[in-house]
Amino acid sequence: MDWPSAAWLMLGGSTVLLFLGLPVAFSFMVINLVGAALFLGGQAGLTQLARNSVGSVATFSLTPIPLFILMGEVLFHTGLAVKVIDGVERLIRQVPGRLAVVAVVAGTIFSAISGSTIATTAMLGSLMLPVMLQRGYHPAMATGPLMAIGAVDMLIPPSALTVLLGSLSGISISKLLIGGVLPGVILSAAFVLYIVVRVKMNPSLAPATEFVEYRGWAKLKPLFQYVLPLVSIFVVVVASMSAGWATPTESAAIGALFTMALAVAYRALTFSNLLVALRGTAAISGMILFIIVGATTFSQILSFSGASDGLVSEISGLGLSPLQVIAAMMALLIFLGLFVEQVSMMMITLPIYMPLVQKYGVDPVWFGVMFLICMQLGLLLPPHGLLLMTMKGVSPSQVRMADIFRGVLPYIAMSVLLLVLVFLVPAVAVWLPKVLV
Amino acid sequence: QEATLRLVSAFPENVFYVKRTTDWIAKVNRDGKGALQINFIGGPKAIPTFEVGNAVKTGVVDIAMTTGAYYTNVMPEADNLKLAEVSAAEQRQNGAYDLINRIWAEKGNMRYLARVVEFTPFHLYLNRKIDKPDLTGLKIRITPVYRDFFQALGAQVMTTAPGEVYTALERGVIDGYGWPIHLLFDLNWQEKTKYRVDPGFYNAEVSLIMNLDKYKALPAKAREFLDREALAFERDNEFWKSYNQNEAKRQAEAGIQVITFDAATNRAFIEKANEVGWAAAIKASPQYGPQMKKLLAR
Amino acid sequence: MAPGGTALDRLERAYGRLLDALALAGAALILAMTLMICGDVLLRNVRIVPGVASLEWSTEISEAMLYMVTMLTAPWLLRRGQHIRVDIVLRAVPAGLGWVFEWTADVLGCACCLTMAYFGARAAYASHASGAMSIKTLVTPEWWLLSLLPLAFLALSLEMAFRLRRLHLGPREPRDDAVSTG
Ligand code: NA
Ligand code: NA
Repeated sequence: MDWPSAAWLMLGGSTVLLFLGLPVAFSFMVINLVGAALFLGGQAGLTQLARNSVGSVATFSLTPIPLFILMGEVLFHTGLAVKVIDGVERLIRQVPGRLAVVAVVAGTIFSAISGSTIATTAMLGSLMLPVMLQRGYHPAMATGPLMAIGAVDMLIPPSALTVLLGSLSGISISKLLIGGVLPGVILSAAFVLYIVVRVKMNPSLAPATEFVEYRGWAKLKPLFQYVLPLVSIFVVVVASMSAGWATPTESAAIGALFTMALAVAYRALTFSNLLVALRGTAAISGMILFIIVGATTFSQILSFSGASDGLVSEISGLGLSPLQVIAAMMALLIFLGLFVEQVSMMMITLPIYMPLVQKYGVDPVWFGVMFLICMQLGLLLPPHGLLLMTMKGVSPSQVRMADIFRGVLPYIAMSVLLLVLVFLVPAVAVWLPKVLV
Repeated sequence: QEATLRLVSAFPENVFYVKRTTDWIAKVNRDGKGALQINFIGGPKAIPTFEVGNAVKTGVVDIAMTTGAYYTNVMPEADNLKLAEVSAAEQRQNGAYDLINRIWAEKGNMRYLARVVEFTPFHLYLNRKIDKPDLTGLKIRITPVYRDFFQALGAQVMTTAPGEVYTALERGVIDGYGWPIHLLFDLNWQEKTKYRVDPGFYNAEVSLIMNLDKYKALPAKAREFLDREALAFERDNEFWKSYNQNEAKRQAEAGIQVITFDAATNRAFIEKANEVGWAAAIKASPQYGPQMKKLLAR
Repeated sequence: MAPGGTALDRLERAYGRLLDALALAGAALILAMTLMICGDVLLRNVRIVPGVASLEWSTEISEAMLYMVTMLTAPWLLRRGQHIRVDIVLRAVPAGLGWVFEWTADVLGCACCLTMAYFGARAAYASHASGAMSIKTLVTPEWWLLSLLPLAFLALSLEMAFRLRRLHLGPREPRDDAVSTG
């Protein structure tokens, strides 16, 4: 079979199954069986496929995925996450859209100690949304920042999806994790600025409400009691790596254990909430890992069939400049983000993207950070963004899907601007990893 | 009629071995028109490194460029090729090549075509100075190739994903690692490496292996042509001697200092490596280990 | 599902409890993995146990655990409708047609799992028959890990069948399965 037919069969076939409603992992697996029989050769090929499936997830570089998710789940289910919000709330004085600003700041801090976007968004959404609505915030104004900050969680380490991107693409995981910090912080700062300016222009969106103004120690107590100790989780993860005690992969385990230890110290960890956190971790990790089983072998068969190389040389034969190719790749990613979720985005594109990145001599960290920004955009894009669904799930019924779509739009625009910024000024992404890693 | 064979590499495409192999394939395809063509499928992105052996055994691919350590799951004897002290050319003379082919056929359904990397010692690379071959208290990153040897020297061994070695060296998570004299620069490890221990030990091996059924089924003309071309590739192994000298020079220029011992200690170091290596080989394969030792060791 | 019901209903519930138990084992493995990796780091940096300088095998055991977590949770996630998918077309077409799509997808999924189970079993059997060993820090028979794959896919096939049955008994419309991981 020539490579264009192979490409049509593999890429086209899996897309059809995906839209038929077959779960992502199985869509890959069905096509894998067909591809293995055709390209790897009958029964021997199918048996090889089974062996490759085992090897696809028995990979040490994937271990941070459950470990980072566990950190977020423990913080969420032990109630420690709430303390972060409380601590931040007492620190922030009256500004336009104060509660939204609190959500963004608390969410940014939480991003640095949680590796799971779902935990962050669900936590902020269930805790802050009812309060905001009750104080007369417009539903779009209330939901927007909460969704946007969940996306920032993906950029700021720890982040399970960043680990997966590094592991699948061969880009240094530690450089990617550090590379996401600056863009994440820039995005948070832009969110705060936007909220303040927007509410100043139209105060009815977020009525100024009364709040208890704490003074002196009462104002600072939760900061010292909860926020700083919890932020020390981040410090421990980074320190264990920098001090040479642990490899980056191992430091994820240290972060997870330290999170549990802190929860014990606060007497917040019970057997039952640990169990809930572990079960939640098993569920989210299991979803991601099972897709990896299907998608890793998919990309192997695609490569074996000659379709990957064929597509790559076809694209590189178009005579485009590296920047044009990168721009086209990002545009395609954003388009994909409209329909498919993050893991599949990586799985579908990386087998073709990475050879192109190598061929054009593009800085992989720069490319990887832009890839991350496109994925976090995918979290926010209607109609399917994960965070839109999560938000709908935790919202009272008065919040309509239209409010959620409208609420998220400005933040999508800011994420796109960030992408353009990183594209034009690569230092935003690569400077910090260069200095630190 | 023209036969077409599919070849995969167990090493990623950016490793120098792959370029040597694709150059060879280009020559084969040029001279083999009408008889034999080889189609390079790719590296681990097509067949994972540790599955290449099984893929050759079962005929999923026809030929692979790989090293024994990558297919010990097919047969533990594969890793013994690194212990060879006699050259591949001599192995063809003294019966080792035939023994290898007998074992490879029996246990792996494979034809051993040619050895394409030799005269390439492994070295111990360190970031802490030692004055005798004693690694007590040092954390050394290992692969199964030299685990037993480094453990015998008292090292605290750990396995680290290849992608994490650089960071692990930089942060001091590991104090050293074992690696062939070349390929350091492909991974940039020279940036975080201070010392190389000379002498080297063992003999890094990369070979072409082929599915036996496919080999037997080739038309006689194509099979003879393939044998001849593979032999020519193997005869070119002298290349590695000068290449490795150059690599040592590059390492010196990159600031890697050489640690060496007195002559007696050097000899003992190498003997220890061989002794430990063969002991493990014979334990893993009581049947063929001793026979291989007889023909491969000096 | 109401309590009682037919024998098949009871079987389905019992099977669900088995899947719960498997997932619980997966969750326990994640905890064990955390503790093991931390133990390795601790032993390497602080000599608390004389003679034990590290858990040399912790890397390869973690790899095996990751794979086991995947296999142990997959059937449970299928029962809970948590294997994410794209439902954009399912929601766009008339409910009845969406139901037909669901039905087709389940049949394909079931056939896929059975095929994977069959060839996974062949891979495990071939490995066992040739006495293949996985030679790392630990030397173990290769089929130990390989054999988990066909078992997991057999469990998935069975759950796919139950899933098809639930679809058949339920309303003629697409289901509400997860569409994202997070
Ligand atoms: Na994060
Ligand atoms: Na995250």
